[in-house]
Amino acid sequence: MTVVKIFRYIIGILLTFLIVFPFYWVIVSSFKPADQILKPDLFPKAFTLVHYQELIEQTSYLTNLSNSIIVSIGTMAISVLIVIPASFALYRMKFKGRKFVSRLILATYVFPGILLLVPVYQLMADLHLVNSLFGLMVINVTFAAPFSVWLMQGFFDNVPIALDESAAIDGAGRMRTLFQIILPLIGPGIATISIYAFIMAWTEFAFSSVLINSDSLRTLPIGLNAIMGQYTVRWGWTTAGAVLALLPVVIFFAFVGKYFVKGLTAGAVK
Amino acid sequence: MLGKGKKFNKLLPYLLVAPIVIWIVVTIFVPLISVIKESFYSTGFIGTKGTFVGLDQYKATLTSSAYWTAWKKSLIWVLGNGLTQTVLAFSVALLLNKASRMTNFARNWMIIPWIIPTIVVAIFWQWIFNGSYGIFNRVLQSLHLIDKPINLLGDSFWSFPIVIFINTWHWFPFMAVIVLAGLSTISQDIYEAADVDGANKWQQFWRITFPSLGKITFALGLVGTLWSFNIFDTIYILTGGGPAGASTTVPVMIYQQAFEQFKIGQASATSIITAVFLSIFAFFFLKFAGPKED
Repeated sequence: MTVVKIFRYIIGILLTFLIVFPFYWVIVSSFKPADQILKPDLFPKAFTLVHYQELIEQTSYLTNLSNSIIVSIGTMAISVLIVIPASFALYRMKFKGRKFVSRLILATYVFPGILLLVPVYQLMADLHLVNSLFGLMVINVTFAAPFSVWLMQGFFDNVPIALDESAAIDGAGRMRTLFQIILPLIGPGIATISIYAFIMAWTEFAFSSVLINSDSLRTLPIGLNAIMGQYTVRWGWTTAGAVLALLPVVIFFAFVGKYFVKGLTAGAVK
Repeated sequence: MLGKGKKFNKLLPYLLVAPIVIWIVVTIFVPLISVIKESFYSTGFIGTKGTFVGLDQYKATLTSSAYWTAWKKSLIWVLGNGLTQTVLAFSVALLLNKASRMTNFARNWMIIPWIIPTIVVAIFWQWIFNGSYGIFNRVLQSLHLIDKPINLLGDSFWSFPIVIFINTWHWFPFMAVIVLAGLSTISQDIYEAADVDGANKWQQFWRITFPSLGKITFALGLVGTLWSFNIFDTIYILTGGGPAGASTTVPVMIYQQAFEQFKIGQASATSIITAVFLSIFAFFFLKFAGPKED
């Protein structure tokens, strides 16, 4: 028994180290002065904010950041607006073609998006959505929404169907039932799919790199990749850029992360 | 009045699913049709018009050794990621499958590697594995395992395994959450009964835990394989498919054909062929690996 316990502790420490160390090392490096950053000191001997200051003043970091925020919030809003009604219909109503729609959605979330890179570019070009933040939202929603519908199943199933029935007896229409009875009860579910859409949009790389070609519309991952490519030796900027790119999602996650993990858990067992 | 209401109620579910269905059709199925069309035309740059070449591009892809090499890389990629992520995800999930303050905290925060952008993951590990002054090389040197720093990501043998490792780091937390979700559905009584019967932890894992997760491992097997096959950004950012094609998987190859060699038609043919192979895989997986329902 104790052997098992010691073994568990060792594995636990190793796994924690594996997850935490890269974060620690990049964060610490980003605060080291230029003449010390290349040295392997685990604890910094001096502290500076100069890399952050230069990154903000001399690169398009802030523009990239605001583009990413716009795209992520837009993706999140559109995704929630189309996922909730669809889930309500799929998980609460009987209608012809229900199975077909849910299969279609399932097929979409396993579909390898990379195969669509070329034609989506052409589609966006036809719609004049190349070099447009809205174009990025459109494609991000495509990849965030289907998985979100799947996640919502667990949340809808947790609301007793008897509530819908008694609302119907009281004369409430289906839409009123959705807004007044179900929505307040699936708050954590809405939080879960919101974070999912936000993260998808915040981290998206392939389509953003193809669909955006003007510097002023680049999102953070693309901007950061460009900074990295241009200044391979400037590890101060690169590490500071990495820290600033992960900070917003981590802060966002700190507030709603527990709903997200719970939601993923609830959705997954269905 | 009542008749109108009834009609509305019948129509309502269609109105509710319409936005997402239209969205999917416009952004996936319309492009899919255009890929099929382009695969028969010798289109070069995006926006230009090519001439009709029939099945020539299909032939070109199917007979090119580069395509099959890319498939070999993709198989190694999917298996390598699947194996390492499964081991790590199960380790984390089994460790955290107990309610306590520590595990609750760890459960919420361990997913952090998955929520950060791939570019940040790439910076993390490029910095650690850097070929001149990376901390990893320093540690190996101070342990006298190597004399000179090695540029692992630029090494023709090591780069691909290292990229697999980095991608594993990025994705295993997500898998761990799903496995944990599955574990939470197994009743503790079964384990207690097994304890009484004298089964050790190892036997309990293989006899109880693993079979109970059938449905979830099945879903992960299918979705995880397709998702992992699809990954492009990690490889592209870290190695660009190199050195000398050492990490060119099928998705990387398609990207290169379309956006570096400007052969849209060829890239489309490659995409279609690949989609067919993936559908065959999905079909057989669903048919033979599906959870037995009794």
